[in-house]
Amino acid sequence: MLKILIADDHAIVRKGLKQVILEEYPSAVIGEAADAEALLSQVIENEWNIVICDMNMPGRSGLDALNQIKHAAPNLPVLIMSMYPEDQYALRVLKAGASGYLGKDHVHDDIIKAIQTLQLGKKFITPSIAEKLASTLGQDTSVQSHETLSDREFDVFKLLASGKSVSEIAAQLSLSATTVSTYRSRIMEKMGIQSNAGLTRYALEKKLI
Amino acid sequence: MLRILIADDHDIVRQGIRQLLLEEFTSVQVEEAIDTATLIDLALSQDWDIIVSDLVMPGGGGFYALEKIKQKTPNTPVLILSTHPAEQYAQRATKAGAEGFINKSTLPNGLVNAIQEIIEKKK
Repeated sequence: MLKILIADDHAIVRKGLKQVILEEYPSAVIGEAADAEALLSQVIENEWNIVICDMNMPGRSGLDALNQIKHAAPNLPVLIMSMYPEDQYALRVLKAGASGYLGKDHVHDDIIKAIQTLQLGKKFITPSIAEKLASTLGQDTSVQSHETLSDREFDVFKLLASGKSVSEIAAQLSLSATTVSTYRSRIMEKMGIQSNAGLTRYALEKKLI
Repeated sequence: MLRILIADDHDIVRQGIRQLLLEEFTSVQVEEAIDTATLIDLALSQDWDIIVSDLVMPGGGGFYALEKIKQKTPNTPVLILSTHPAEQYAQRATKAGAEGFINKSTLPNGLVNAIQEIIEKKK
């Protein structure tokens, strides 16, 4: 029996997703989690065939949750979905161990195909992501500066760019303010940007927030 | 038969709302619009008991659609649904003529209650 865990902070998205999956797999068991903490405890407590996880949830980010899931259950396929354009995040989540990435615009059309692909032990990527992957081959010099950030730095970068203060970020990610400050200076050094406003402008230009 | 039009550019959100409405209301017909132009077109060409619309959609968005709908059919109730916090947009939505504003995180209960309240008031 197919067991799928859905993690998204919007109940209506979980409902929609559940409905689409049940239409195709009427006997599937669907679990739900509204945040990353619930997601992780469900992963640890129960057995699942596939996890479908939103990239942006309150508290820990989907990327952070993905890292923890890969630690707790390395063989469990995780499909990440996001409101953000595929080309900006797909590579990052695939590198972090996700088995697939879906923009929320494509969920309805692609979710069943994605589940079938993951069940075969393969990765699911859309044609636009495949193109992006192909175009990055042998082009290390053109790597965009945000792509040089570690996953944790990237999370902090996004929060800074969206106007969050160091202390707010520390509280949200359960880190000390000093650690967040260290991340902040490392991010700015790596990206060659001197201010939070600069980070915001970069993030908006690249459609990262 | 209750006729409800839902407008959201994310198909999975529309699917979720549709499913919720079918579960909660015994006699309901739900139609969907995927962008601003379709929303305005459907809103003005047919009769609706209520329109539930997202704010951010291609082609102008919920506020633009709300203005057009209220100009032509001021009695059609419009409920705005958004990921933005109510304190930022609720007032603007009601000033523009919307009958209600709810945040997407208050779904599903918030939506059903809001729809019932708005339809009751209209009677």
